[in-house]
Amino acid sequence: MELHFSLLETITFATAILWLGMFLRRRIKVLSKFNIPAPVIGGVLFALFSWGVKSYFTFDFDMTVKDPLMIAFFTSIGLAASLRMLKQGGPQVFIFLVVASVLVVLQDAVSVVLSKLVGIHPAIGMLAGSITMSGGHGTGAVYAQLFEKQFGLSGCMEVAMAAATFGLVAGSILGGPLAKRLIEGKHLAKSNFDPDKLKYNVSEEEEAVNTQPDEPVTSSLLMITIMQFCIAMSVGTIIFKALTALGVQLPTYLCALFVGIFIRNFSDITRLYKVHLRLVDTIGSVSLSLFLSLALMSLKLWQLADLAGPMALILAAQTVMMAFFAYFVTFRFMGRDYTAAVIAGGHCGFGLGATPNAIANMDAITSNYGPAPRAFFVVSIVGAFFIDIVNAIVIQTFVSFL
Amino acid sequence: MITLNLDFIETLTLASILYWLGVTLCRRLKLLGRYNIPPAIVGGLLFALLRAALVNTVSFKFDLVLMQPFMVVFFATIGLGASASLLRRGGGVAFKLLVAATVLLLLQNALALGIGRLAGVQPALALLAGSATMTGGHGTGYVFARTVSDVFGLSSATEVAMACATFGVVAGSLIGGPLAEKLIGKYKLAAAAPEGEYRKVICPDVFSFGDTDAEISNHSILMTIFQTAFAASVGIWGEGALRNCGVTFPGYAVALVVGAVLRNVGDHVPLFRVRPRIVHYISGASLSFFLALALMSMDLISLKGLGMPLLIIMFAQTALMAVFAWFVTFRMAGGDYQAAVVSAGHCGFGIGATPNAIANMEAVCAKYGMATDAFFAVAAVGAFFIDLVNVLAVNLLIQML
Repeated sequence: MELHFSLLETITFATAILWLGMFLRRRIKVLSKFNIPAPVIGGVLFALFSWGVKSYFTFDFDMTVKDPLMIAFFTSIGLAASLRMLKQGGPQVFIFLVVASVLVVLQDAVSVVLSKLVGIHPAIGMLAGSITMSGGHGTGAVYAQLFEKQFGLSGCMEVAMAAATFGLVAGSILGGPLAKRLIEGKHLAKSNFDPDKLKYNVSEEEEAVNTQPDEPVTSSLLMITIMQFCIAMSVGTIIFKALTALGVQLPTYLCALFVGIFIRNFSDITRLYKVHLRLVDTIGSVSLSLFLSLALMSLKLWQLADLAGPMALILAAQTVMMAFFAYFVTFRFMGRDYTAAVIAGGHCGFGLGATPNAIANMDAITSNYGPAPRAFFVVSIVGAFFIDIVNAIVIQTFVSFL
Repeated sequence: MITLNLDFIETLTLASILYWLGVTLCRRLKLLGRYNIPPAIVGGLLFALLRAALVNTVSFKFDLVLMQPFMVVFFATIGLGASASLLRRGGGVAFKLLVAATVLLLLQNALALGIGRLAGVQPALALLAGSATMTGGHGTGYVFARTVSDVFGLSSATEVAMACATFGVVAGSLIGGPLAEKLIGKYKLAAAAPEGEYRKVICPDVFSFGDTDAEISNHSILMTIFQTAFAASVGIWGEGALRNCGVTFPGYAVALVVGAVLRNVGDHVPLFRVRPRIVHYISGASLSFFLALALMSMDLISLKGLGMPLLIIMFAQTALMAVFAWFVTFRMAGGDYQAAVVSAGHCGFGIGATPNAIANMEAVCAKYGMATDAFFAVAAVGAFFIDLVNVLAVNLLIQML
């Protein structure tokens, strides 16, 4: 029996799954400790359920809004990426961005080489590369979809989700001990360690960068922010079509992302109009959550079985590489001091998992060894949007060689 | 002849640009701002005019797949706002106002049908100039127009509804303030105005009902999207189920009722709590999109020939509203200063929309002093409960025609 869901019913279903995910995440400590996203929890549960009832029911969802939501998420990254912020962040932000970008390239290289060795399609291998490591579930779902279409592979979505979830867990486990080794081995801990002085304000420095405080949200402001999203998405599609006609392959969401960057920075320079950061951020993460749960609803977990061996190998290699990279490269280039050690711990978090893992890692480290506000600032600026942009470009380059 | 095909994102883009254009114009042109004409109407009308002008050279094709969801979602959010405790907060005044507004709603339909018969307008079209657009507004007017054009085959129904609703918005803004001033002058209520400076902050508060910005997180937003989508899809599903039972009842009305049930359960069960502020944002955005989409695809040329009879009905409705507010609403609400403010508000939403009501009351209160209960009563009745009554009443009337 096939169950059909209309557009609104599909959204209801997706948000119900999300809600289940949020509920479980709040109740079950392990899930929140590793910052597993709510849509992944709910989506995997539903996937298990639909696997179980496969022979009785199949589900048919109306996915009209799935791709627009994904593009909206990337647009929000563009709309938040203020080049002025990068400049004001100082050289450290820039250095860290370069370091993290090098890791992105290495991750993809490792996954392509290993997948050639074990004899799986390099596209599948890449899903366990920077797509899900430096990226995350969102980027993973996008490319999984793309690869399924472009290379006619099946099971991409399942591989990507498994890899991204593994990354989250590995990144959380790795970061703390690594930073501990760095700090204690090189005697970097702040000597005047006083637990009472641990209360520091991360946002102080960030506020200094954020020159224009956001206005209070109103309905018309919301509509105007939606307009900026829509314009970026439509213009992105037009550019995509124009580029395709010229023979250049650049996916729609990247075009939309660039239009978003343009809209944001044009507003920063000319001050003709405003981009409301908080709304952009909120719309972006709501779209991502909805997109992920829509994407995960159609997960076919049974396709994962054949790929388990090769994937495990690639993922193990990624984890080892991350550890060495953070220990030898990130730490050195960031200045070999306490802050650098905290950044290295944070880098393990988002280099394998996602930015929330990085923040959680650094929180754990600083609550033991003392505050490092600079580290938070550098990692969250790079991890939140700039690395996503670099990552998208690197992946695109690799894919064009496959 | 050029045909422009817009896919659904491009259609949304155009709709949101028109909205932005409307907002900008309303801010710049005092006239539009004063009458609280919804920005989506201003922008959408401009585009409809452009389309009418270009009718021989360019034709537009829109992908309106999201229009119906936006509409149903809008009605679901009205339901989600209809909190019984909000009505209680408005005190006895709110309840009396609801009764008065319901009586007016019936009179409006009787008047529209009566004049319509005399002037030779089809009763279904005349009904659109009744409570559907008067007590209702652009949103309600449009859906009934769709029903009317589907059932009776009248193609100009949506245009009629939009024209009436816009007239109502302007008229409601015009008569509310002066009426309250006259009432206050005649019954010497100015001295009895309660102490307390008028504060502008109260107005958003009326809708948010203690919900703070801090409570808006991704979690609560997604929860609210779930509640709205749930009410909306139960609505659409319910329409089909009821049709199978032989009852014709539109999906958006079911969605409204489901929303109201959700809200009142949520008021008592913390797990299902509804966040009024987020609902308010979703409501505003979906109504704006819905109206902009509706007006974008409207054909103004078909309004020709209906002008005169409609105008007569409209003026009659305005007169009825003024008389009713003066003699009935004011008396029923207690005959004091607060009652005068409520009457000004009733003029606003009785033939216009809730923003008109709020603006009318603001103007009166800024001059004479605050009347908090009046704001709560009008917001609860005008924005939520009377819409519930109106949707049910007009549906019954349409079935009888």
